[in-house]
Amino acid sequence: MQYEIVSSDNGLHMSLMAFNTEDPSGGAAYRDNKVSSFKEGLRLEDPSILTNVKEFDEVVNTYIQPIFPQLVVTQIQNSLAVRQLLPKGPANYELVFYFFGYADDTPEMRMHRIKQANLVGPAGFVSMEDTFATELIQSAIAHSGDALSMADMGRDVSDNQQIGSGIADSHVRGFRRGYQKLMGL
Amino acid sequence: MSKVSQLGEMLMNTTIEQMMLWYEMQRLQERYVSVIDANRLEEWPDLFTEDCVYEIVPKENTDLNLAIGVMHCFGRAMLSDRITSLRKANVFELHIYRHLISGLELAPLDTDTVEMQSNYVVVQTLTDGESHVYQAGRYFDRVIRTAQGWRYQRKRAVYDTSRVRTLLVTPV
Repeated sequence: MQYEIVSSDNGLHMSLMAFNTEDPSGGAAYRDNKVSSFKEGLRLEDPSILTNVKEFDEVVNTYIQPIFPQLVVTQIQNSLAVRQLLPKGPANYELVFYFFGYADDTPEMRMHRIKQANLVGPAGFVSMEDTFATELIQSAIAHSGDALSMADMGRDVSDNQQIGSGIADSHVRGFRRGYQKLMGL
Repeated sequence: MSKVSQLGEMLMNTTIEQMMLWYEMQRLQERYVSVIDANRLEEWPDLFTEDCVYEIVPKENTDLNLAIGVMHCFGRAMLSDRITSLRKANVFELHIYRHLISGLELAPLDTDTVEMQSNYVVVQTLTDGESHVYQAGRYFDRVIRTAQGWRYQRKRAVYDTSRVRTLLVTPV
């Protein structure tokens, strides 16, 4: 996988594109980096859900564009969606998914988009854990208002070195700097 | 035998056949929910035909004639993939489902095909021991007779509940 990630100058908006690259190693990069979610030998019985039908000039596997404060535009293969984040108070939020296709989609393409909607949303193979992850963090911090914890993730690696990585922290730090400034903290 | 009692017998046979069919469909539904609620999810795909369609869609979208839902499985292989993913890949809080089903209505199309609808409520219990209504909705099913018994060719769970709490990993 090859990444192209750009943040706005204030760090609050972002654009991430992931391109498919040939990987004859069977995911060795995941295995060697001990990515905990990597499971060797796990296969889909019906891999058609992962087919990326070429529809744009560049064959992008994943495109994610978070626009501060509450909008995310996503393309996961041929699944196109807009996510809207609605804060409902300090402890709750709602995430609304709007899936869309094009009026001139063939019936096959329409079916394919519906099939690939399985990748996204609250039951999405790719995204179902997103909300659970924030829930875990929320439950950990809600009762520890005075406590401090820090994950020193990749701080010793320069921003330049992180540019091509899909799991880099520099963009998260850039966002936090922008947020801090915006809130006058 | 008089004509009147012949007619009576015929009506009675028809009624018994209808009752038998209702009983068989009710048994299928109960088997379906017990497979899920007892966490025997590996058996779940076996209740469907090879070419089945299984979907979970919000009523909000169905009413607007919008196709999209939270889960769309086309074919039994996709059902198996869902269970493999749940067992080996997904990260979620442990939970228990209790399905309550009611109001089974049958519309037989022919001797081997039945369309049916029923209400369902899924009560979810999380690790903190709290139970809440996770989803309320209606099943729209098409069932066909196979050599192995009745199997779902289509199962469409249309849920009234506006929100999915955190995530949906276990089928309803």
